[in-house]
Amino acid sequence: MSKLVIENVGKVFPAQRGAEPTRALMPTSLNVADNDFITILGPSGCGKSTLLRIIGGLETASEGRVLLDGSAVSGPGADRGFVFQSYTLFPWLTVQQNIAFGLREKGVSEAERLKVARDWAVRVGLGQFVDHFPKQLSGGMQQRTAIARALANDPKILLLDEPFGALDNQTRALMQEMLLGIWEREQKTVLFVTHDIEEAIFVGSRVVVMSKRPGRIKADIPVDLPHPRPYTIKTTPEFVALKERLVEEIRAEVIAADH
Amino acid sequence: MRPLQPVSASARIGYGLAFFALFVALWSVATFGGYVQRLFLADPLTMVGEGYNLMVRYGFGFDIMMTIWRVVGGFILAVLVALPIGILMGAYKPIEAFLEPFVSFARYLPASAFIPLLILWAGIGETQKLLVIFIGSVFQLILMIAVSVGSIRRDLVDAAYTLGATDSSVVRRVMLPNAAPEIAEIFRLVLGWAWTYVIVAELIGSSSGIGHMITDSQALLNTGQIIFGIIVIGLIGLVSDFLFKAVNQRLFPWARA
Repeated sequence: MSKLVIENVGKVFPAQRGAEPTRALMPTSLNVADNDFITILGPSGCGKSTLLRIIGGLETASEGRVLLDGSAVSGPGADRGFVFQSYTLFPWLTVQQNIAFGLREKGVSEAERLKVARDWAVRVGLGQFVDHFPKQLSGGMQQRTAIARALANDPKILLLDEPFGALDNQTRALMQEMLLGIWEREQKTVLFVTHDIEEAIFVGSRVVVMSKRPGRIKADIPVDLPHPRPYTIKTTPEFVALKERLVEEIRAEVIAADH
Repeated sequence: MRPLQPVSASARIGYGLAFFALFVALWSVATFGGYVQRLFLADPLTMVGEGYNLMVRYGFGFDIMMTIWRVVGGFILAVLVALPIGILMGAYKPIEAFLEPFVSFARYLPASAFIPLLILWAGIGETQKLLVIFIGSVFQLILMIAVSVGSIRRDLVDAAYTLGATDSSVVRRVMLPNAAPEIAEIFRLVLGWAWTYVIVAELIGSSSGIGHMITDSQALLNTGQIIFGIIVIGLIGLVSDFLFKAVNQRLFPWARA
């Protein structure tokens, strides 16, 4: 059975001041298996983030529905962890307190939640930084904390909206390896939105390519690369072939969007 | 000098003191040099002498304490009312739509114009003084707190919701701590304004306080005492400002470097 079922989910933004309503997302369907790592790849403004935000409950669908473990999603909730592209750590909380935020909402005792938070900080390589405030951390460290904060809640699915989009290339590559490592160990269902082709292949076990706005699913390509994946895999022929194919797919969309 | 080029901490203090020195120098030239009649403006030394007289012979310390208590008392009352209303307005848009137009209107009502009315209602006792401060501060506080609570980044609220936060914990655990440093800054600012109202309140129908001393001195043409009173107010303002800043930095180490 599918963990997550997306059934004809579409989004139309209502008309603003006499302008026509704009459709951001065509009715889209997608099934996500348990413990799958799906990357959603598409050009800027194709509605991929809108789709993710609908799944996260941060946006309402104009049509269709999203089912998680068979029950329809309405509004945001702790069962779907979300990591944003922007830095969304709470600036007044330390790394440890940030990670423990959701556990406190669940009513977990203080000792227990601080222990879990510390564990997660160690797992994302921030064991030395539990008492630091976000402003004292680099962008990569903040995003690692944000991932730990989402995972400490033990969500059924992890939604990532271009989480490494604001990071420099070197940091981004390290973050991809870290995320992949966590996924290989923890076995989570993950939906990862990105516009970076290499990133989509490297971390994903399935790449869903979206068309230009209004977005729809254009291709659904399995990534049959073995796990664990070292960063050197990016130069293997299989990887390069897959990358060339995706570059073509995306290129066609970007050109179409410009004309 | 180049635009935005920083100055060192010691130079900053030096520059700041230099202007005070320049101010006193100009004042001295104007008064000791005989350019201004003594009747209208006392010279610095006379002012210091009168200040000494006030403190030692006329118990001016008591007046200062009375004024401080009125400002602080009225201000605390205003904070107790403004804080919950401001937070609710900032967090819940219908409440804001309900109250904002009236509060914006009330904010422009001059507190000093209420003094005759307040004397009718509350007499010339302490209640009237506290009410002047209260009316002068409460509407400003409400509006500024509402704006600071409501101006939270949308994605921080979204993040809290995806972590399982309820509506009330978004207000308590996210919007409030997010606005706290700015609210503390608002307190500092509005307390400064409250000082200007208290003196006006004390000019009319009062038997103690710095404002009362100033009215008395006017009747006696003692400009030295008036200036001393004004300077005391300035100094208290400076000290309270400094304390507020220090406390804010202590309380909110995460907010600005």
